[in-house]
Amino acid sequence: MIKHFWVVWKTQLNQTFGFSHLKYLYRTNRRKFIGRMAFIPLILLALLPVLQLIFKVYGSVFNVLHPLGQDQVIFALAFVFTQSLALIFGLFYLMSNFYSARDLDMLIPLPVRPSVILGSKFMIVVISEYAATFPVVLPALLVYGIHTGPPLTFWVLALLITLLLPIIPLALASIFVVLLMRVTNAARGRGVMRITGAFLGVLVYSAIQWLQYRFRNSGPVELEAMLTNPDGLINMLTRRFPPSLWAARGLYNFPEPAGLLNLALYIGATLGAAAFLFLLADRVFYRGLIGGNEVSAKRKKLASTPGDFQARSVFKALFLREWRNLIRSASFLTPVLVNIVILPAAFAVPLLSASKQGILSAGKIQDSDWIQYVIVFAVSGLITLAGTSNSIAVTALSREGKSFWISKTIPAPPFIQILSKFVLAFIVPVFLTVAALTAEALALRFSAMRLVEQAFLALVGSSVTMSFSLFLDLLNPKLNWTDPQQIMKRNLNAIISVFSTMGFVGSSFALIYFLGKGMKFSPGLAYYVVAILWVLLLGTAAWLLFHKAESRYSKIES
Amino acid sequence: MLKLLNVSKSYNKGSIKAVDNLTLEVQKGEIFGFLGPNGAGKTTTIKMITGLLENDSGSIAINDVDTKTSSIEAKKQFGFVPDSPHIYDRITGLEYLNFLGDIYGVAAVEREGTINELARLFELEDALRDIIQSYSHGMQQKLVIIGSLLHKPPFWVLDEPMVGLDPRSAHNLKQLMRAHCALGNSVFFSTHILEVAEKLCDQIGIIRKGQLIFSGTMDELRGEKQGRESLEQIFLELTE
Repeated sequence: MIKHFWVVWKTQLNQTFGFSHLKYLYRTNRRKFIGRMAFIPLILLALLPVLQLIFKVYGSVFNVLHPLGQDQVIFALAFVFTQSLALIFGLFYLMSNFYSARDLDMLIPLPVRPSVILGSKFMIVVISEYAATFPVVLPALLVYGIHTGPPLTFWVLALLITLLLPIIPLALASIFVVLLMRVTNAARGRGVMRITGAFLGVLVYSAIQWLQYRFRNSGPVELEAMLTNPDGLINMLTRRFPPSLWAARGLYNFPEPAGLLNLALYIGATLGAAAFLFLLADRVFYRGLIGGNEVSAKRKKLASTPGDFQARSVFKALFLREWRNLIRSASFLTPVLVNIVILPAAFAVPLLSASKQGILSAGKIQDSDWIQYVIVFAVSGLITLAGTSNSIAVTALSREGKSFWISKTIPAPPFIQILSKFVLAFIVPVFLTVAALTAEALALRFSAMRLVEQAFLALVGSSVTMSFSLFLDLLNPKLNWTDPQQIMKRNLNAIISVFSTMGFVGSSFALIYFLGKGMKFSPGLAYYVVAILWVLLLGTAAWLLFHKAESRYSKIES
Repeated sequence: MLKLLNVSKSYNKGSIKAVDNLTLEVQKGEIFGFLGPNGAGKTTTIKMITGLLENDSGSIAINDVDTKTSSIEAKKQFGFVPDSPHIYDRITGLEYLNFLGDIYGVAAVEREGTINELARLFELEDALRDIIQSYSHGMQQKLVIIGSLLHKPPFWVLDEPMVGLDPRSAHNLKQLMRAHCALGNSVFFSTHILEVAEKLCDQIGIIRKGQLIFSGTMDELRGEKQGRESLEQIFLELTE
């Protein structure tokens, strides 16, 4: 079984990260190989402003914690943050990885146990998760290390703990997914039930967190006890995910007995969760999988009903095509749903908590122009990031795959085809902007002018990065795919798009900081400088996109 | 109806000539069969005609519309059936046909008539409301054929259209090709099935290694060999 696991995992690893493909490029097309490798420093460069921001935040947090004697909270914070994120976002990723991957048709007939297939796919997700874990956890450990100078054992242990971090949340999410798929497999309309089930799972988890928070005593006495007790803050923080507490305590107290005990708990729980998942896989995985991808057909007579043969404009027809292609594939739709459901929820909970505690009150916000504009900038940045992170723009052409021949042979100008794709991608930022405006109007009582500024910046920012992302896809679409995962998860354009958006948002924040602190600009003036800059960038990106559409469409060979 | 003038296409920076200086013409009302061994350049030629590939040199005109200078207008002149029917599989057959109807600006009444007529002919009436994913290869092929005729194109291009079709559907398709030409339209199709070419085509073209080695009627081809050999023998000799 171990041998089988190793063989399947190794192949999947190769397929996911394209090692053989890189080797092949190195041998046959050195220029292309160098081009691919050149992206690594570029991505790191784009990450730089964000990493700088993370280091700055951790530095400030450490300066607050150190006098309270609660230094270890710094990495507990990072642990709980990454594990909670892995639990929530991993759910959808795991679902499509376990059940929608096209390689399953090839893997299932192989003489290997279900746990080998599921286990190898699980380990691929764990490794992919490191991309989100390292940038959050490593800076926290470094800030702690630089300030306190821990022994070498700390670093070895820290590395081990960090590598194990995604396993428990992803194993728990996997167990939920496997059971959900098993229960819904026989049901009619199982696609909808599965997506609904996954969202319900996330909502129940969030509700439990909120209830824990709601019924916690939070008077002045409790607050003092929390600050004076060396474990007070860490307990409060890790309440939402106890393994993070074991990891933080184990690392901080090692090699004392308390540290060893917590470490044993953490490693034991990690191994236990993984082992349980593997055992469950052999019993349940295939029962939720086999037959799950079959498509039912009613074969009903075609009798004309009103609207059956309704004629529409070319743009509407193209938009409908894009819309249907998007909503009828779980792989394409899930990131959009994650964007429009989880993102607003993720911000609503802390916003409500903060306003309940009086940290954020409408009165305080109305008194400070800077706070209002910081919120406007932050929300615009988040919506801009969300607009590209769902990959809808950057896969606009690639999603057509082998059916791209239709787009090339129909008499619809590429300009309109691109426009229909852009409008589809624009739905997410519009939805998020409306949600943000509603929250800002009702909870923060922003003025009409501020709301207009918010809407303008968020939509312009999203348009800039989405135009750029679509342009990337236009330049180099990935049409020869057999599995939607290949373009949603293993697409170099998507990686460039996300990192360039991070670079764009990060640089804009740096500019705002410079304008406010260095140049002593008023917040309003800083806003207009950024807004004008973004409009100019939008003009350039949109010109590039639509100007090149015609010539690029004729060059794309499908 | 179709004019190819000195059309060439090469790959790998010119090292592989897929189509080499190809010139041919298809007249109105004609069925033109395009024959050749595997890798001869049939699909590359068809892809250039339909705009899926750009020709390196030469010109292509469909119904007197140049495919490079007036690509959109040229695309309105033909309906296309590719060799493998890759189409959006997450929409229903009817949604796919309506999409094409909208793109080509086919009026609702007209499209209803055409869809019903062709769906009946290809026995696809019961499946049009189902998602395309549930279709067999042959059913997808039939759907693509219906879609290609929805706007009643003057020029119909088909790449290996008989592959995957059951005998009845293949027969229906041949009838449809004849009926299409009887209305003054033209058909251009590639095939490996010599019998089909022999019985159906008014003109045939044989391509080998990217070059057109014969273009004319069946009788002309036979005449070259003084009627001594079967089409299969002639084909084998020519493409050797």
